[in-house]
Amino acid sequence: MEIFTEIFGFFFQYLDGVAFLILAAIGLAIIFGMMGVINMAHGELMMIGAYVTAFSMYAGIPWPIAIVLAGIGAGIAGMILERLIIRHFYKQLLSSLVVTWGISMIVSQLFLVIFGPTMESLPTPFSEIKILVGGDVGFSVVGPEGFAALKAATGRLPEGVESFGIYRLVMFAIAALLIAGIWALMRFTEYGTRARATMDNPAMANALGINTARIYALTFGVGSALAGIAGGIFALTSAITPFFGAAYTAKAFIVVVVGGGAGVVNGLVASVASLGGVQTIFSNMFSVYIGFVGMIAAAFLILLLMPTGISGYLENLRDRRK
Amino acid sequence: MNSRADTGQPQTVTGDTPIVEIRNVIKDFGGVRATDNLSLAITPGELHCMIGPNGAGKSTFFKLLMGTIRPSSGTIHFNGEDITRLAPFARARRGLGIKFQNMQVYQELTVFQNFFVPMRRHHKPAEMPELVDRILRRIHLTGLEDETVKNLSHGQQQWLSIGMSIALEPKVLLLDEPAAGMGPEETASTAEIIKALNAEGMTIIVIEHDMEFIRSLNSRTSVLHLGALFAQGSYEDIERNEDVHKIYLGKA
Amino acid sequence: MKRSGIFGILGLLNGPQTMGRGWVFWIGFVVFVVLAYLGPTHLGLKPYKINEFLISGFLAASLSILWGYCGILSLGQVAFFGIGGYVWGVIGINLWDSTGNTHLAFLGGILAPTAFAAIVGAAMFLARLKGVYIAILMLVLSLLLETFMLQTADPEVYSIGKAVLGGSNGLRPASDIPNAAFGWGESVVDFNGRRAEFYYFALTLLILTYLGLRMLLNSSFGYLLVAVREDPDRTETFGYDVRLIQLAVFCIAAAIAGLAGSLDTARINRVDPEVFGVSANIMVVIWVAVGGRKDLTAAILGAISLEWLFLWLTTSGNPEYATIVMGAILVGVMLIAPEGIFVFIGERLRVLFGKSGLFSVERKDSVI
Repeated sequence: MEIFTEIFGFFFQYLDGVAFLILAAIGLAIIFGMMGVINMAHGELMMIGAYVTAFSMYAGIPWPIAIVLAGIGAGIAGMILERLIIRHFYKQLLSSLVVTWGISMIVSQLFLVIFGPTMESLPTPFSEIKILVGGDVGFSVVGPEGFAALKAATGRLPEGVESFGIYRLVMFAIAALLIAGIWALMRFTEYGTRARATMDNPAMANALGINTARIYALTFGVGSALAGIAGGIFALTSAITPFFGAAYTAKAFIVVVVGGGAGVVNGLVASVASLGGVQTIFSNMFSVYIGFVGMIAAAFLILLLMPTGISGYLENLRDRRK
Repeated sequence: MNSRADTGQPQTVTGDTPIVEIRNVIKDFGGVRATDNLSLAITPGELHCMIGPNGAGKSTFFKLLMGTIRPSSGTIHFNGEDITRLAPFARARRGLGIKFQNMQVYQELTVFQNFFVPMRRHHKPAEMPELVDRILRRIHLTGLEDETVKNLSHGQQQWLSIGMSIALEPKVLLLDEPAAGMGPEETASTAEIIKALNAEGMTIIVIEHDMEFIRSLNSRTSVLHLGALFAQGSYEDIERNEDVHKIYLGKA
Repeated sequence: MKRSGIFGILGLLNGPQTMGRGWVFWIGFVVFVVLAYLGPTHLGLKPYKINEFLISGFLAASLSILWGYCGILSLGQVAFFGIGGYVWGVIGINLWDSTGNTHLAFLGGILAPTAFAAIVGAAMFLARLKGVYIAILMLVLSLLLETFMLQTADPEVYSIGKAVLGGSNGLRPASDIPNAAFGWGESVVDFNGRRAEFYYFALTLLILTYLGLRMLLNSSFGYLLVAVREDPDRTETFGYDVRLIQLAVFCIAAAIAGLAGSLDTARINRVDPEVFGVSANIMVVIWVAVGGRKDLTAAILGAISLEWLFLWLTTSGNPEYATIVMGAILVGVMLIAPEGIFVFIGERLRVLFGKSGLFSVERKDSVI
């Protein structure tokens, strides 16, 4: 039974890590993969999402709607940024990087000035429901009464039993839904077709009557909205501060760069699946810090072997098979 | 490096030991075969033209020669030495000079400073002004040495790019579309520049779309088609070749 | 121009890759240097803060030669600064009692980050990683170092001789971190980082570094740096191993950043994991981008003047707006004068004085 607990714990941790990386990176992957802009203000867009979620929930709005509002808020903020500043820096990777870093600095400090160093933290949904694994329990999902009953005897959980929160699984489900949604958006909608045409050859798309400026703004908006949604989801589990996003930006970049720009969705999934795996294994064996180091080392190795990222490599492989 | 008597050479050799020789080179990009079992030999002192429709693999051929891409299989020899796995800078040091299709000049430097980089390996700075003057005269840029390159016209930048490759004093000069974007007069001057260089003994390989330009060079010509050698011969032979007309001239 | 004797050296100082040249520039330079030496005593400036500005000048020079001249943006340049600072502190703490000077600390504070840069750079450049990846990887590296140093609180595990890394509290024992000191026995000269003497020491070092870098940038190596920035592939076809040039400038930049870090630890007798943080990294990028990355003089001036502005903003009532103003300046400059403020001014000056040949010499003659 201990083995089972261990395996389940590992699996759970892996899903948690994957969900975390997907959510942190998905908006960035869209903007980098489709527009070639390095958006260092990604974390701040997530932060905006977190704040929108917080204020919505303070006003009594249920969390799923608050998260949707977070996406809308960050999406609008992103489109404004794109029109005001970012559009001047297309095809200038390094300049876009520097200027968005400046934006991130302004936005986070502005939030600090306006809203203070921290916000009242939000309740984590489903926190009363636990998955219990191991010991005499085996495997069960319990509510607060069941949980209290188990702890009643000794004040602690029985020997060998571990508990896992259910919100982590919800995060994974949302991450999977977002991935599927983006795939469908690019694949089946009018916007998706136009966006892919624009990214492929802007001049040609323009000549075909596509308003490329609007496509760019919309794409940046979609990426920002995804960042905002992610920020809202993370806001339910962590402290909300003006510098909330900074923690995610670096990891998100690693994931996106390893995924590569050739295929936004499959690159992201492959990258997250592999880097998340490395991180989980190393964290389990050593420490969280070593887990992070291991993930970066893995990213570095992957880039050495596949300089265009995993998706570029996959595309190459697929072509070769033809 | 000594030349070797080769066995199993491609049929295209004309007697002299080749200075550039590629054997059975295949290059795949994803699913596309850009170069299909290509074998070709260039003799020292030759002026060689390469033509072919879009996507025939001409630029890929130059990139393979220069080493910016590696062949999937096959070998590349330069002056008798196998250079298939050498990095581009190592090939340049052995005497391969190139002007790629897109213009490659240092936009923010002056004309004179542009020459500094290719010349520095062979010459002392004190010798440079005179050498640069001499090259500038060849490429019709006399007196422009202190001009910043981004202020030059398109044609002048093309010439400068050729001039920089000459300044490297290569044994073999590769020119990818040297007359691209030039007017008729500039094109004619470019042909004169190339012929003069060749008359002084420099081996030159030219890729070009413009058939007028190829005609004015009037030299041995290879036709590439679908990554393979389709025909080879003097310019007249090629011009008379019905099959070449079908694949290329007909479309042009 | 002949390349012999003193004229050769002057030519290199003057040379083409640095914007200010010709005698108008040099007169301005001398006036500036004289004013700088008179600075703290006659202009009523507090040396403690001004000393920090000078150190930022070194860091800006380091990023300028790397990013501005060779086109390699590093978002983690303070990684080398921090390594230099820690190594200087560790050596200083351990050797002070036996040597009474900080010669070896400076040597280590420069060599350790250089060696680190050589290893990291070799991996990145030999793999021909693209610019963006290098920028991000360097940032990540810097953050990794920060995270690592933050978890070194356990003195049992993380101590080197007498020095304890100390986690978030920084290197300890802090009281044992010496001042910069040179000489032997009786004739040791000691520079207290809070006093004017350190100011003169750092100022002299900065001017020497500046002039030395000018000579390097105006030598043929400087030409190659610019050639690699402008078009690395073309430069390779002229027979240069671009990767080695990139690695070389990466190491030189790391050495200067390491020197800056050493000086900073000596200045405040303290170093903590914050040196590796995001805000430290972004400040360096702001100085250089706003001042003008493609010119050494502009980058250093940018660092010093922005630090000055930042100090003024933080001490004049509303410190919380200081960061916002800095960010706004960065964004504004990137939009309006993307080459940087001081390069922008320099170009105007060149137009003004250029016709009379005072501000710039004939470029053809200035190739060494």
